[in-house]
Amino acid sequence: MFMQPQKKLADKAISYWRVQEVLFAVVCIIIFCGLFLIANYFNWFRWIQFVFVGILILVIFACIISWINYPKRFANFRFDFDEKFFYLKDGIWNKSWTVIPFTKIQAVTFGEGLLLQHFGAASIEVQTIGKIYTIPILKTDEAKQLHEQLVHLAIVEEAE
Amino acid sequence: MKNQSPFFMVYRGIDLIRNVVFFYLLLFVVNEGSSAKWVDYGRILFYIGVFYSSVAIIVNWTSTKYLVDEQKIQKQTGLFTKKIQTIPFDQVEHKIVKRNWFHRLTNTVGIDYQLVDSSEIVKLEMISQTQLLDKYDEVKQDDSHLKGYPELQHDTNTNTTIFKPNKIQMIKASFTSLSFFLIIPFSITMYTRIDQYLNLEVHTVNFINRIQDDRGILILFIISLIVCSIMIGLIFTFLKYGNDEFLIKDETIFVKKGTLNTSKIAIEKHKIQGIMLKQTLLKKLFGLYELKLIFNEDDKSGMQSIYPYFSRKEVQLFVEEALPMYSLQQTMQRLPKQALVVRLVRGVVLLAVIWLLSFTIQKWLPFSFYWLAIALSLIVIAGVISSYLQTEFSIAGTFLHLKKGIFGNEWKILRFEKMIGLDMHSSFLQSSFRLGTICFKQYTNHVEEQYLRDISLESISALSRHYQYKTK
Repeated sequence: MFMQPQKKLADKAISYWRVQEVLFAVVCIIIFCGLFLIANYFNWFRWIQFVFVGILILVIFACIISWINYPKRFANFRFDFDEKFFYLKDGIWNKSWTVIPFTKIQAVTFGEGLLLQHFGAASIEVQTIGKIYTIPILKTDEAKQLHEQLVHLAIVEEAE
Repeated sequence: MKNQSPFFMVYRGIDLIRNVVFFYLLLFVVNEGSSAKWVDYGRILFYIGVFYSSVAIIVNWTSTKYLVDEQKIQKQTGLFTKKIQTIPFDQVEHKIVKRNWFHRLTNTVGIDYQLVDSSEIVKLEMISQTQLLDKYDEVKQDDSHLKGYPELQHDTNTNTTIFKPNKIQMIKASFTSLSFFLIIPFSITMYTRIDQYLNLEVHTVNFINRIQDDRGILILFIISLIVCSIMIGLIFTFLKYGNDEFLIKDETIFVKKGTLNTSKIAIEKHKIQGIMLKQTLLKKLFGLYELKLIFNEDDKSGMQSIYPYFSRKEVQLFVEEALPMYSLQQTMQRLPKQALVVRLVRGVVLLAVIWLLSFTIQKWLPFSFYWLAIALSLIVIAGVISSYLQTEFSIAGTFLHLKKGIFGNEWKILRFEKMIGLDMHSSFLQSSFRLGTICFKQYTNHVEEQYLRDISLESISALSRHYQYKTK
């Protein structure tokens, strides 16, 4: 029924997201445990400790939920482009489809963080007025190619 | 890709020295012979800091590269976390050239490229190629025409039409704007002012006593009060809108507003992205419309209210005359029945929250909470049904008609080819009824998002296909 974009993320996306998630969770645990101990040491109000523990439990719960949902997100995330438009589809429960004319693309950014490099991957950001759309993980050469293609199309469309 | 000028490192080095000179004096000159702990630690920190900063300067220079050609600017940053940013020249709105003392000394320049919404700036801090400067100007030259502000004058040209609001409309307007309520703050300030000099309280008490005794005086008093407030409302409205004037000349619409402080606006027709007819609940009763234009011009873009008290006939005439492509005769399509269900579900959830809340704060309420809850329920249900009945849309060639509102009403007519993008969403609740939300984006001086909620997925895909077709 909708235009069904065909291109997928790199296969490593799920493990990349999960590693990211674990790192995030570890940092959270360290921070909140530290805060908890500090609160204990300096005899802060009792409820503050409860708040810390509560936040920590919420964070871990959210992490588990998204851990389970990553394969689904991977399956649902698609992007594509033709000569005039860039398409993006995302979301698990709340789905979204986006159509951006190339004439309105302001900047294309190729990004390569440390973790992404470890996976031999990179990300692409497409910036329009007011909003940035991200393709979180692609193989490095694919991402480079996509970056060039998008820039080229954006420039060609501008000129017309 | 090229590195920036190597002088950049020198410049940063000078900056660094300027920043650390205070700490140097403190640690090595003032406390020269000191054996205090903090001085020792401070010195170690100082060495680490200076070393880190100097390495950072060199790494920053070697890892930052740029490329500027006829079409685009590309900047690469980061050693471990690499980032390549590419911006087509046409998307660059402002170019800021910076030459401070060091730039002049080394014959370099710094250039900031800024995007339309100034959300992002690409900075080239120090580059030696001065010929780069012209590239942007070459590309931008053809559309850098800043037109002079046209003077509003009454030509007897055949292409000129003049509109002036009519008097009967103004009288209606003075009621809908509720400006007659101005009498309340007005009289209160008058009372307190006079009270400072004359003891009004005694007079007031006497007056109230006399009114209570005599019906005739009471009626007279009330009538004079009403007349007075209407007069004030009329005067206020006439002062504000009575002198408004619209002039349509070729491809430009001129608007003159105000009596005491007049302002003039000129809007070029081709820059108009859409129009909006707005009705508040009161205006609906009187059959009045506010006409707004959505447009993008350099300094005064956004939504410009043309005139808030048009009658249906006048607005039709104005639009036909000024913007003939925008037709107000249009049969529109309601949302599917499922939309009403979804909205009722949301309404019921809202009501549940309201009932729960009022139940918990019941103890502190001076009156029975049932009345409050029932009143709120009725308002919410009425709002839901009315919003369903009022939401309509249709496609007319290059235009999208969009009508929505809860108690008031907004009717937007938007041009497809002026939109900057399309987002479609479907929440869990919506997708279980095969519904979704479509969001049309426009750019004026900010991003304007026009939502159409709870529309069937089929219509969404039809709309998006039409959008793609029309922008091609």
